[in-house]
Amino acid sequence: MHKILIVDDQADIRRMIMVALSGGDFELLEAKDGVTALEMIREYRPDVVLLDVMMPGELDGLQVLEIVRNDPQMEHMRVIMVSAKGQVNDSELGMQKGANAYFVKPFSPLLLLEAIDEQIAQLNGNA
Amino acid sequence: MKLSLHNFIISVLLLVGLCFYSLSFSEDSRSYKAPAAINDKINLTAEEKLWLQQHPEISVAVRHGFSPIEFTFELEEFRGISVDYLKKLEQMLGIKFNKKMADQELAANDTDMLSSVTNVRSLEGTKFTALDTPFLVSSIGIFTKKNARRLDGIDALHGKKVAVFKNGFLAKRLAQEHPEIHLYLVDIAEEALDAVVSGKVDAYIGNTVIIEYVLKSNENESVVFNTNTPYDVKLYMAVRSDWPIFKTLLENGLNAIPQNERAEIIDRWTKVPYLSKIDYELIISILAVSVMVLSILFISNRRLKKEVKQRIVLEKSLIQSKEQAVQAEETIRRYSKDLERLAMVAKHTTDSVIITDAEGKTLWVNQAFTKLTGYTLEEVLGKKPGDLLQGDETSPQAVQLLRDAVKNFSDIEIELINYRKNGEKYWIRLKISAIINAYGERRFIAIQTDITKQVNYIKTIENDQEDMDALFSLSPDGMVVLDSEDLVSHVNAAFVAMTGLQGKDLLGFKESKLDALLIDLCADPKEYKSVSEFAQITDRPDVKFKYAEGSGHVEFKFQLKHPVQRTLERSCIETTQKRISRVIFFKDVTQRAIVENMKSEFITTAAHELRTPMAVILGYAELLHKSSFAKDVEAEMVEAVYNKSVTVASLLDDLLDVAVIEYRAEKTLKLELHALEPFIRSIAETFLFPGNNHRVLLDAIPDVADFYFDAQRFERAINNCLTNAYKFSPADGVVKMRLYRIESDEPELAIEIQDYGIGMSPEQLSRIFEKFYRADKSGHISGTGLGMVLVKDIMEAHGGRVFVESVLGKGTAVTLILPMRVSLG
Repeated sequence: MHKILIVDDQADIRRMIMVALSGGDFELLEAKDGVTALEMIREYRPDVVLLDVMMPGELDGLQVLEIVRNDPQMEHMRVIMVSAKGQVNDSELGMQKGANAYFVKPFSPLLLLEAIDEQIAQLNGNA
Repeated sequence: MKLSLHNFIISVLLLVGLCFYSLSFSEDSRSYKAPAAINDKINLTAEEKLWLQQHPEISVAVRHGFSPIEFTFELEEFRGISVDYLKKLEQMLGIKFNKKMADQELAANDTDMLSSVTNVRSLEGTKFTALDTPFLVSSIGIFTKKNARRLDGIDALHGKKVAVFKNGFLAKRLAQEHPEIHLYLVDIAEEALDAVVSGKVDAYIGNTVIIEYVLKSNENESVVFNTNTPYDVKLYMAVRSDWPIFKTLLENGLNAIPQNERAEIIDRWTKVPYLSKIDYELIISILAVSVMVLSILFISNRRLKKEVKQRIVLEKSLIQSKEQAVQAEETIRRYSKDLERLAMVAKHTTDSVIITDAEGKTLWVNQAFTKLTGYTLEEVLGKKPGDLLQGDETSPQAVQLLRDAVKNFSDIEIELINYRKNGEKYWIRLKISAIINAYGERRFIAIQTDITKQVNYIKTIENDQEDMDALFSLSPDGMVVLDSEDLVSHVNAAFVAMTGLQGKDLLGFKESKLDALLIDLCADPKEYKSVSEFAQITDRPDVKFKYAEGSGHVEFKFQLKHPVQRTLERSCIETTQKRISRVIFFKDVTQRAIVENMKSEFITTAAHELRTPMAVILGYAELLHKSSFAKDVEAEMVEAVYNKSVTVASLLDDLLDVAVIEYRAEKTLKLELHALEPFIRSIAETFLFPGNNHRVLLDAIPDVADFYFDAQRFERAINNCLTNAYKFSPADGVVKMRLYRIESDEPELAIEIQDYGIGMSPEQLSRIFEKFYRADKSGHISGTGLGMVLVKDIMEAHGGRVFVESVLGKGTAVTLILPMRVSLG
């Protein structure tokens, strides 16, 4: 069973994503800010992280991504950015920093599900 | 011994000089003479004595420009041969001659006597009679070049070319009696003398006294008296015909002047060397004697050496001063020639010409003067032109400058307002030259040019210039003007206000100084591109960097840190004007930058705030549409969709309200007269916050007169405050509302809404009116971040205000203050 970490400061969004993913064979984890997210990443080693960009607190989504990408132990971790920042350069920045996919709110939960499946398939393929 | 020797040398030198002197004039052919004296003494009869007692002062008209017979010196002083005779007569007769300048109309005034008359017949029909005997008989002489052969008389000039005055009897007589002579008619003596010197004519025939005086004044040694003609000119004094006794007195008086005194008078005005036969033998012998005497003296007394040395020094200095005098004379001669020529030209020029004496009193004006001013020569003669021509609007400074120029006998060029005789105003350019004429007299020549048209034109331009200056100084954009040498020539008020840099810091400096000063003020010096950076760009041949003529070119934006934070946009216009090479503009775009910044922030934030609830709505809607879930989950999803839709709808409302109120302010308010009490009571009684059962605790409502406010918007403001108060309070928290009057000239209503909830930190409090600012970051408390912004906007649109006090963990009090306007306008 693959572990999915959902990071978003909005409880409604986390809840909606969990409902969308509830049909799959996933272990779902939640974090409401960057610092919590990083702790959970280190502790639970999720396969896929759904990462919001704009979050209150010390770390925003891009900073979390950067830390993850600079840590060789978390090399294989798949990160999908989910952001309200919809400008082209925002998504480019995310991809540059090593995101595997980028979703802009509002997004299709079914497409997100497909993206997660795809990332997991790649993980398995690589493994 | 020493002294007597010295005296002796001087005596010898004098002797030598005297010999020369007497030699020079040893010939018998004096060219002019005073008539021989009849009596040396004057015997007065009793009747004559009585008459003289009764007439102690006699008014004499003296001609002012008839040198050397008579002329005025510096206007007041009369000089000349006739004047010297008058002096003698004064002594003899014990009377006083009141001399004044001869008027054109002799009979029209109270003149008793004329000091000189050339043509006796001209007195016919006047009140004057000439004396029987002339006081001066001047020969008409022939003047030639110095080296010319001595002529045997006038007949020797037959077939030759001869200069003669155009006016006067001589030209006529010569034409009649010597038609063989080719006459060259001249206006003035100078012209004739020039003709002789240049060889244009062979001789000059004219009044010997006058010509010799001119030669002497001009130090002209190249033209000399050659010989006499049979003609002469007689000069008479004239007296009132009704004063025969005075005529006799003068006649006798003149006759009584001794011959030597007469010669003195004439010599004083005419003495010049003559072309004559010189006894060289006598000169040589005298020179030989004096050289010998000197030699003996030198040899015999060595002690003299020292004194001789001193004397040499003295003589050198004498020679020097003589040289200076010669130079001065040369200058004077040049000037006087100019004057005479000018006078000739002046007759025909269209510029008005005035010649005055040293005091500025008019001696002569030309036709153009009369045409310009309306005043004739007779009207201005002897008067200062300024007294007639200047008026109310003439600049006092200009008048003072003119007076100073006359006082200092200096040249001046000036523009001023004059008035014509008919009172009409006009502008003139007055060019005055101080000159000394042929007779050593000081004169001013003034040339007036009518410049009224030019002045009017310039005034129009000046007005335009003033308008331009006004525009320049009123321009909201800062401007720096660079002149043709790329130096700062102007900075306007807006630039000074923007940058705090003063004109004195920049004027006359290069653009690089401007750059340096501005860079010092920049928040980020790298933002400012100095002229040298531009130069680097322009130096690159592959980059064309030339501003188009007259078209503005925005160069860059930069932020100033001092004197206040501002964003300036620099642009530049190049010109091909003579005096301006470039104008650099600084546009204050601070507000624009703020607004742009706000807009972009607003859009970003608004987008974010809308995207989040929309993500929930879209997500659940899609899942419900395409998948199936347990009943309770579906119910939860539907509820979430509903709630988020409400959030989006209210967010859109708030956004619209903020936009409308901020950008159109009070124009959108519907101000109507309302009673306070039912309005407040209705809000307090109906407001209910979901999840809290406590209604608003309302204090007593003050009794105030109805006043104007927009009820719908004011209710919105109060509701937003109440919502916040409940939102940040515990589920059972209470909210109090208290109203009170603020007494002042314009009474205000205060509504205080107090909660006992979580309160705010000072940081949170300071940001409460920022758009989309959310004190709560948890996401547990819903909101758009526009509630307090809207409250503030509504209160300010009413002319009111909001203030908030808060203590973290204790609660918040928001006070709305609204002016109670009982009338509109």
